[in-house]
Amino acid sequence: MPPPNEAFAVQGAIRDKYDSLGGPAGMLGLPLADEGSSPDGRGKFSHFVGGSIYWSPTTGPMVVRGKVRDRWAASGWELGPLGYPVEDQHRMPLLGPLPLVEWCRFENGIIAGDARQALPSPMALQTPAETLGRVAEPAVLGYGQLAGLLGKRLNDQFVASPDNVAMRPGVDLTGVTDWQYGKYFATPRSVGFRFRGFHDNGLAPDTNFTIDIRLRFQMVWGSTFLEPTNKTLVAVLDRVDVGHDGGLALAQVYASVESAINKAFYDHDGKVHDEAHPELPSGALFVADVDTGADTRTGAINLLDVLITRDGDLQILVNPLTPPDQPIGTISWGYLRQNGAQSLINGLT
Amino acid sequence: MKSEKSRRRPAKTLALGSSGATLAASPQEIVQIAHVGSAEADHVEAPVPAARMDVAARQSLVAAAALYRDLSGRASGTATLAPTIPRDERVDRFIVEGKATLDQNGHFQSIGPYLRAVALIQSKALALGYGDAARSAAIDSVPAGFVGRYERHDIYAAA
Repeated sequence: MPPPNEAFAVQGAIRDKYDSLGGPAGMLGLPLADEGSSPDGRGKFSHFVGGSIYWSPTTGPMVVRGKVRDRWAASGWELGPLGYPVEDQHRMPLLGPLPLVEWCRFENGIIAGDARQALPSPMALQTPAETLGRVAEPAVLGYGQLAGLLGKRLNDQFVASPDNVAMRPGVDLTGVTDWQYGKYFATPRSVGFRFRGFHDNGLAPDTNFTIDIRLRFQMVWGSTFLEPTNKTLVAVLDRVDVGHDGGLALAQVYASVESAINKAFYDHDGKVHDEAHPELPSGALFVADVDTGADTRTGAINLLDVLITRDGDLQILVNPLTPPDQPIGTISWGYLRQNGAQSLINGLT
Repeated sequence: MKSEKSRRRPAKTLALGSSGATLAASPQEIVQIAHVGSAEADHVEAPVPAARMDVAARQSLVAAAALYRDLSGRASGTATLAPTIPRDERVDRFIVEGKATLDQNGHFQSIGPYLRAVALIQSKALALGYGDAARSAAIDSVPAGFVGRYERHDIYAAA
């Protein structure tokens, strides 16, 4: 309970978020202190009886609570390796009053916890002690590998096109953006690529062009009240620019290439842009089907989410918790699942 | 057979609330009850026999006061704090805000928590630079406490 002889102020974006969650009548209850400022000079936070809201200008106000918050605190709060939360803490919806897994995604990783508070809450970025001495390398697809994957997709599209366009070998990695502000979840980092191509003008000089494209990677799924057993990894088009790169300048070529790329991502003429994957939202390109291993009867789940790291790698975030029906402390489940996730993303290239 | 107590009351009886609780009391009596619970009284004895102070009676007391307020045409509202607030209005708010609870001896409980919370909230508002506005914000009761809503801050105090 709050101290009886003090009053505490809630303000700004944290106040808006707190009110939207029911304020003192919601899960957070009354505030325990005035809003604080992070030592990094970026963020703000308020602690409540039932959890905390952390805010930064690039993530937004997000709720962290329970064992997950305890584990995050032990890692150094927002100054630790995980950074700020980028979405509200999520609790795995199950069939009936069963063991509950909850997790919160941060700028640089994830923490999963047992909502019954029965299990320890190791991070996805685990210490050797938490992995029983085994080093659980994060399951990642490197930035360069992502570029290769995307370049292959573009090339396939150009080869199939009757428009005399083709890709040139090579790709530049043009950098990673920060997370972008959201009220309930931040927009993920995007990764940028620069490809080069040309249009064969016959006897005239070729028209050379660059394709600057930025993509965000995330999971989507159909509507369900339970935790999905399958999700779809997609690449969302953040922006695309086609520009002149030497040779004969033909604006029509640049426009048609840009239009073709947009058509690959967006619905048009009343048709879905990917008939094989009607679950895709407009603006997203199919990357992979992902079996999450979720069991809505037992509460087991293997894969929780994905993120783009600060270095531009695509990381699969796994659940490090022991399944509810398994003994604790004999197997490093994070290690096993990260190996499984690595196999999944290796299969993409 | 009617008890001696009920025979002494006026005939008018108010049936209150969905709980079916009944409080036999005249509007004048309700006014008298309400006035005892004024913001100036911190711990005073209610002019109601202790035997009647069960849960239903407590609910009835609040409901009766609300009914009386409605019958008399006065608006309900949250407790806007101002030093010049009329006594009757303070009494109404005192009851509507849920402070008209009774202790095991049938006495009105202290309204100290409410007044303490108001003082804390106003003090915090002053510290945050609200000046005179610190004393004019609406104070609402919330679960387990009170809140003063100011332009840039919501200030909470536990009950």
